[in-house]
Amino acid sequence: MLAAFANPHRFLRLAEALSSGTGALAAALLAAGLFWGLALSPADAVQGEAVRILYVHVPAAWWALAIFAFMGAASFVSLVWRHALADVAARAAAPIGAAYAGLCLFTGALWGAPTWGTFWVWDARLTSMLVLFLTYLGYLALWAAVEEEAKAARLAAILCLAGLINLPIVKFSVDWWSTLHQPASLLRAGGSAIHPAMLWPLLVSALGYGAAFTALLLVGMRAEILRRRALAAEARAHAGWGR
Amino acid sequence: MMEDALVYVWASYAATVLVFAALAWRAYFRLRRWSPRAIPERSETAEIAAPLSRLSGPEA
Repeated sequence: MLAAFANPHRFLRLAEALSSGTGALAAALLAAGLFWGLALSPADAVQGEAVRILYVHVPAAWWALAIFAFMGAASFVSLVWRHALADVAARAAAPIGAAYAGLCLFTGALWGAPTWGTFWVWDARLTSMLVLFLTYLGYLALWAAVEEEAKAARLAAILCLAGLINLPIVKFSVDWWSTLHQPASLLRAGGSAIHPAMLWPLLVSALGYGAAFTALLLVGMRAEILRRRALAAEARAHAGWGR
Repeated sequence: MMEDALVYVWASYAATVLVFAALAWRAYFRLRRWSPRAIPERSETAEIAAPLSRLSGPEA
């Protein structure tokens, strides 16, 4: 299975065929999720209108974690099996994950202001999420700083694998420490604590974020493969000049 | 308080739309920059530059 997609040419054809469909699906789901959350879902009895922020904040948090886990898996495959597309996938996913993590922190601060009376507290959930965002930035900076791409890929993969330790800390921070951030409302023992009128727009919005990640990842991987091909062609041309 | 919350709601949704627009914009332009249609221009430049570089040796 992995070997079948190790061929960048085959992957490019598949990604090109899937990009438009996933992009259109993402646009439709995001538009539906945002409109449902903003205009159709009810205000919360306690949080009031501020609850609408959660339809953009919570999916950003879920996917920021999931994308980093995806990058960790790709980095592992890149380090162990030297899969041709693994570090391409991890590198293409990083800016999307960083944007989602940044969006999660920003919208979380905007939710905190009317609900908690403050934009920020140094509690375990917020701090560990900030660490995840900074890890994303560090990963991107490492790729940009190391000129030799094979070395950059190896170092970035090691940083990503080390950064995985933060994922359970983010997830369980609300259980392990006493935090201002509320505990899990959906993935918890005893089932979801969210009313269906609020759960459905949240799920549609989360699907939109996921479809957007898939579409952006496919386009990003195509661009990265084509960039490497172009640079390799240029290097060959330069080598030819020397003869 | 209600109006205050709505300002934060609108700011959150505007930020979300901007982030997705920026990601889509970046993905589209990176793909266009490195697409095979753009590469022949680069290769053509390289092919033209190669013989020129051979010609431009020390002047007699």
